[in-house]
Amino acid sequence: MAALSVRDLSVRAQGLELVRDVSFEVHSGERVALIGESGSGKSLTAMAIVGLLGRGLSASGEARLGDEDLLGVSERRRCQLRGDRIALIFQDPMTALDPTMRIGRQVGEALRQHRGLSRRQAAEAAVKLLARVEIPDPARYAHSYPHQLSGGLRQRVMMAIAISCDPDVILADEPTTALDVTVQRRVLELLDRLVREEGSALLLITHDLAVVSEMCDRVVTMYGGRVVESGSVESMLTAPQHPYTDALLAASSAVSIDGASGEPLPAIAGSVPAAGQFPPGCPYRDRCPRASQQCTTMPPLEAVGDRTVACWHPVGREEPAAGITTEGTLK
Amino acid sequence: MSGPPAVLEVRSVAKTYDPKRRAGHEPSWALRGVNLSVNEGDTLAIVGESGSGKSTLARIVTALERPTEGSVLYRGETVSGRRERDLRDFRRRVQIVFQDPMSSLDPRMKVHDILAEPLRSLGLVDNEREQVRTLLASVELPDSAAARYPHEFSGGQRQRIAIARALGPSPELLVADEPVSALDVSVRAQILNLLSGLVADLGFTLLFVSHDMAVVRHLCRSVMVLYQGEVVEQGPTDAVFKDPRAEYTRSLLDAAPRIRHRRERGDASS
Ligand SMILES: Nc1ncnc2c1ncn2[C@@H]1O[C@H](COP(=O)(O)OP(=O)(O)OP(=O)(O)O)[C@@H](O)[C@H]1O
Ligand code: SF4
Ligand SMILES: [Mg+2]
Repeated sequence: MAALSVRDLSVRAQGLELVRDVSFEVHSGERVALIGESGSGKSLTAMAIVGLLGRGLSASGEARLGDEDLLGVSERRRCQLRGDRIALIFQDPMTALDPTMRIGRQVGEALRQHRGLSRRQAAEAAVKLLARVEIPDPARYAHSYPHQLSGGLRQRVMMAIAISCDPDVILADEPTTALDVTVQRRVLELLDRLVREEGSALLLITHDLAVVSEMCDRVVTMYGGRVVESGSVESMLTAPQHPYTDALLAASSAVSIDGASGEPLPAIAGSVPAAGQFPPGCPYRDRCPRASQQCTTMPPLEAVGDRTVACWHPVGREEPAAGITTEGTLK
Repeated sequence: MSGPPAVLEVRSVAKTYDPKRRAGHEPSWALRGVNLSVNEGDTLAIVGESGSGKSTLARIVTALERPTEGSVLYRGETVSGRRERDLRDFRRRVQIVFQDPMSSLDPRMKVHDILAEPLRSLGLVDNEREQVRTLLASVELPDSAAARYPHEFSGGQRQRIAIARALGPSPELLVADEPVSALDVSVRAQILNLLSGLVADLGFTLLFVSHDMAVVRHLCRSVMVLYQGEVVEQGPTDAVFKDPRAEYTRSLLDAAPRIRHRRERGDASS
């Protein structure tokens, strides 16, 4: 059974549909990557699932955690579930940590709240959790404040908080993007190990396809607030069918430490439009090299085997129809 | 042997921000014993993790900061320690682009003025409108961009504006401090293509500061690795990547994520 099942999730702000009809599942022990450029709606999707959308934003649809719908339950119940059965790790731990509270107390907080531990029990558990996320000298760091820690250590603290109640689902939104390569490597290895030990389901939001290939089982590509493709990591990263996944993969593979230098890199024309500025029909239409007249209507998300794709002219499936512009600009 | 002097030379540069230095304590060094020589047309990368001193070095070679010890020479002439009014010519020849274009572009200025301002202050204006148009074209932005404000652009477009501003005075040396690390892969590719095209067309010398080994491999012919303020390795990019001498360089290369498929991952997680 799916640990997390998202159905037709939409997020709106002042008449704008920022996320539209997003559906996917994450099973226990499975790692699913949510990829897409900045502004494609990945973070809004995660925030909507845990009910932490900012003011002025509203969500509709379903996000089932076991047999409860996170979007349907009361705010009180949602608070009970958050941090207990579903946990969130942010890109910037500084915004999630309380600067005035010692690390140990923050790590023990969820256990007091959700498991009814006493202050002393929670303090002891916090030190154990800090040791599990490989923080050196955990008893000492338990007495520190967030600003006294490096970025890498803070992200470990976030992970300690996330796993404190053995959640069924962990959502991690760009957990290592702000970190240096070497620190990033160690933090990812830790996340990998924790998810394995906990048997949790992981939804990992990232731009980095190399990280996806190393960590994840399945991939969901978002663009313009919609899911445009999903499938196993092998098939998505060896034979992407949506032109957008294909272009992301080409841009990522070309810049590599093993790569040849000097060649022009495959880039995606233009940039992600601001919310509300996507063209009608396929949202990728004005950047897509395969776009045709047909793409002025929205392609349905179709399932073929383990793959779903929303595209009229998928890569590697059939010859693109006539009338395709080579520049990718249909303005 | 003695050809023209190097475009940029850094001699035994050290930098500390430690106020205790004067009291006779051994200070903590942001940079120490750095030597560097960049020739005409070089594309040199300075790599290292955060805190390794990369940005400090970038600010010192652009005379935005003074070294505590040592000197910086531009075409054989010492620039470190000079007064600002004696740096006028240097300011035209050497330009810098920063990581975060949002904080380096004045949000209250229209793009036209952002691009024209360095030309005005260096007395390089002859036909301002035309010069701005040419600059926008060189970074592949439409003329209409001139009338808009920075917040109306995406991250990648803002970085193009920052590059256009730096190109305005026709610099001989461009220092770019992590210009693509805040950008998505797709946009990163656009900016890297733009930079290598500009280096080829305009022939300026590039000093590229980055922690991303993959980007460095793509863009730069030579590389210098900084670790805790000291140079641990230096050489042609191909050689350093193929056969890294320093343990630290090796760890940077090992840590760089690569796209690999499950068979190669060799994990037992599933
Ligand atoms: N509170 C808000 N009000 C209006 N628009 C918003 C709000 N929050 C986000 N948006 C817009 O919704 C779109 C999707 O944003 P989101 O943060 O989910 O993108 P993302 O895929 O997470 O990008 P990134 O990779 O930069 O984190 C963007 O165009 C963004 O500007
Ligand atoms: S081919 Fe058409 S439907 Fe498919 S991604 Fe391109 S524009 Fe969209
Ligand atoms: Mg986001």
